[in-house]
Amino acid sequence: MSVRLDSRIKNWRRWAEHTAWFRSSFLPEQNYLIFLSVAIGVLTGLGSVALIKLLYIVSRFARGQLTMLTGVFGPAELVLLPALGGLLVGPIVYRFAREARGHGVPEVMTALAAKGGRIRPRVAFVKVIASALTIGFGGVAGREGPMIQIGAAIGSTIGQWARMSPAKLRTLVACGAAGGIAATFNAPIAGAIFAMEVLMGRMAADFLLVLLTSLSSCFVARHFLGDYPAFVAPGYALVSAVELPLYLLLGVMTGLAAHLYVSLLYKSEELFSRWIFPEYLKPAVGGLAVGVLLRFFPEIYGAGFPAMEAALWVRLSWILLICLFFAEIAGNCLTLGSGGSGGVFAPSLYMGAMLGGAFGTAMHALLPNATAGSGAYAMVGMAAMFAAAAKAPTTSILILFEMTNDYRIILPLMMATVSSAVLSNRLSPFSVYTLKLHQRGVRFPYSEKDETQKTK
Amino acid sequence: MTSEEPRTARSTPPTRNQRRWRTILDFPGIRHLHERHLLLPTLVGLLALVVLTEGAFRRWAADRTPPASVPPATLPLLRPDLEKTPLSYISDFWRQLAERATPSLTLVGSSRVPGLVMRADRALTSLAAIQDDQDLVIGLDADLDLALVRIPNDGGHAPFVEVAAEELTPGALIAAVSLDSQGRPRIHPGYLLSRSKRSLPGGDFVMLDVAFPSIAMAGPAAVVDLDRRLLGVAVNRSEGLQVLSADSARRLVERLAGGGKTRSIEVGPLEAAVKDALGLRAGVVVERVCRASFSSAPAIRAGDVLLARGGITIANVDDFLRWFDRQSPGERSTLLVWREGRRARLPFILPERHCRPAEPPRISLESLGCTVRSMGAERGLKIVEVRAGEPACQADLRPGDRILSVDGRPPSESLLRARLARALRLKKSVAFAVERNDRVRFIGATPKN
Repeated sequence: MSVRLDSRIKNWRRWAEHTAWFRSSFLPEQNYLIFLSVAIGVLTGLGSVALIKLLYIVSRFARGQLTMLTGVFGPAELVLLPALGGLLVGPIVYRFAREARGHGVPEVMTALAAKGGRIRPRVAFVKVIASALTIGFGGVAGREGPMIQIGAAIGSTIGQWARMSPAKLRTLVACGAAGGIAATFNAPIAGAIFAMEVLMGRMAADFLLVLLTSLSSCFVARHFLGDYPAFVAPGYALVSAVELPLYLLLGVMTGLAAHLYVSLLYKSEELFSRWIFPEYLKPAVGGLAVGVLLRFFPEIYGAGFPAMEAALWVRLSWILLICLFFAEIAGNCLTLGSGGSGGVFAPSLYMGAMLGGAFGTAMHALLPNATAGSGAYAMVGMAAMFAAAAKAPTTSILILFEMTNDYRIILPLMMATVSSAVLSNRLSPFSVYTLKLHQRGVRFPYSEKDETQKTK
Repeated sequence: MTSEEPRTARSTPPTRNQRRWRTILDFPGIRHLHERHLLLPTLVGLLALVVLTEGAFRRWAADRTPPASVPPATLPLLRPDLEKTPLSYISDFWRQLAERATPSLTLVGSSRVPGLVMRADRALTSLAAIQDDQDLVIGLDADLDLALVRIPNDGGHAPFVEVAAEELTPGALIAAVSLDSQGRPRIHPGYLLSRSKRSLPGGDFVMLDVAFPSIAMAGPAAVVDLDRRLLGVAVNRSEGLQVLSADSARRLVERLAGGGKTRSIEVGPLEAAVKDALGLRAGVVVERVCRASFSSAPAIRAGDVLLARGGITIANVDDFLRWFDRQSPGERSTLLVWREGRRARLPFILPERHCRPAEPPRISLESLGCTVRSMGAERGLKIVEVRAGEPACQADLRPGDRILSVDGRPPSESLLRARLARALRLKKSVAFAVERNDRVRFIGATPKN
């Protein structure tokens, strides 16, 4: 299927050459880029809708019909599902596009830094299917990383088709990634900022184009999925001044936790890659291990949004919160390390919510009159964890606003996010995304100079 | 790399972990699996097998035990950390509280307005509930917009237990509980702010100041504390939310139940010493005027002394009440009133005998031969009288019909008159949408001169 698709794209390119006179005579390049960025936004929005719908169908099938079959195992009915998902995903990824394994963002960054923004078109399709199968069958991973890769692949395909220069192609790739985040989280501003802060590094790209893609993609997704915040959270605010140092402490804790998470994730990837075993069967083994975890902590199934919301609403006990924090780390490392397809974004939010919730419960028990409920700490912990793991404090702060539609928690949020990001920068110069690039020997943030030297 | 490994192993003694690992590998089969890189899947598989077996066993054990036939005991009402939870969030606690208060709430009459069960067969509701069901009314107070009505004593209702507002500190969490028209409980959590005394025509009432993040309800709501005891009765009025404290509500219920209907004008005797001091020979003092019973502002007010009616001296309270009860509402009369040292003769339109909202005036439509009454902007016009042989009777309009639209437009007196005049001029019909027995039908009537 994909071979035919690639040849079809070649035909399109030929057609594009014929229409080049039209573009050069009527459309100045900037206008053409605006047109392309909106087109990328619409396609990414549709891709996001497709991923979310497919995920819904797969997960309904897994939790419905399949669970009826595995119901004979009683409380262990979920154990076999992630293994089944891994069994399906392994061969698909192995056969069609190996860059679709794992969380995807390092692949996009590698493409940006070392391949001039070129990504194979088939990655988008393979990633949609592989991620929907991994997450839908209970693999512990997020759907945002895949969506970034899908958006980037769409952006790169359209840029390649339009024969853009490497610099413009990179901008379009960033546009696609921003559109992916914007559509999945219903967060247009955070999507654009993510692309600039994480993907482009220090390089300046045309922010207007990124915003435009973010907007159009989010618009398409809202049209199909409705305008709902990703989380419905209670309105929390700072109760007393005593809380600010506590949030600082929470930031330090999440910074350490993020360091632990990133090193464990890469350790597990390393262990699984060193292990001599058929590549296409590794996700199934990882899935089976995740299944064993699901027997005891069914709350970590898939992207784990219900449990995150429960933590925000103070519905989980502190002991369960701590257990879920470790279970999520283990589940995510096993899923992604073994070659499943999924993101680290939602899992890091999950871990942050659980850790913040546990910390908040303890603080609230110690200082009941001076602190807000543990939900507030869970909410701030979410953003702080992602800020430390991805070294992206601005994106974290913005995304929390856009996900919860609540502005009142700004001060604690900034305090925890900045402290966790600073600590994490001191602990390691690499984020969960750039560490892989470092291991591959790719320099990031890359500079235009490297690119010109390479081409010379 | 493989050639280097034995050398390093030989040169440095094995660490403790390496020794342990070798001991593990010495077990039969383990080395075999390790060399084929199958140790991890085997271990994971075994673990999964154990978990699956355990799960299947539990399922089997659960299937074998018969389901418990004991009905679940009522759950204790767990109070989570409500102080730290925003009130806009209806947690399980609030939901349980609403459900527990439901037996003390009922829907009254055909308009299904919520009522608060105060006794086994008595409920307090708003006047809107009784517009179509006058026969249920035991007593009403138009100033407080509350009526005491009869409800079926079927044993399903549990009257509220009252609590005095003094028992709660200001700032305590409370909730307003009500029912929607489907009978589902609705709860609005809020705070108790303070208590205040307010003098109303019906006497002094203790009112509560409460704060709710949002409150939208039809009819009265019960303000309860966290143990579902009644703290007050909340009525949503045009001037804002008014919360009558529970003991004031109980006094009101006693008054409405015992003394029958409250008169729209209440008078008291003048003491002889007062008469002497004011230089009056006879008269009664107006103690209370129910403003809502008058369609326009009443000419007399509380504190006036009534000296004569239509030229006849008012000797005492009984004399006044006998006369007042004989008159029909809307009749004109003249009262000689003493007010602040002056005497004045005031034209006076008599209100309803009992304290109830003044009825809107009747509109007589001569060209159709019927009389209608306005039911308010949303409820349309109600036909109260149809004269035999007239166009309305011929077109089968009947008393009790509610006119929903006139020529497709929302009905009002001015529109109705304008359409009738136009139809009369053009010799055409006017189309009425009327509701009769819960069914809407269209009726065309041709007006006559």
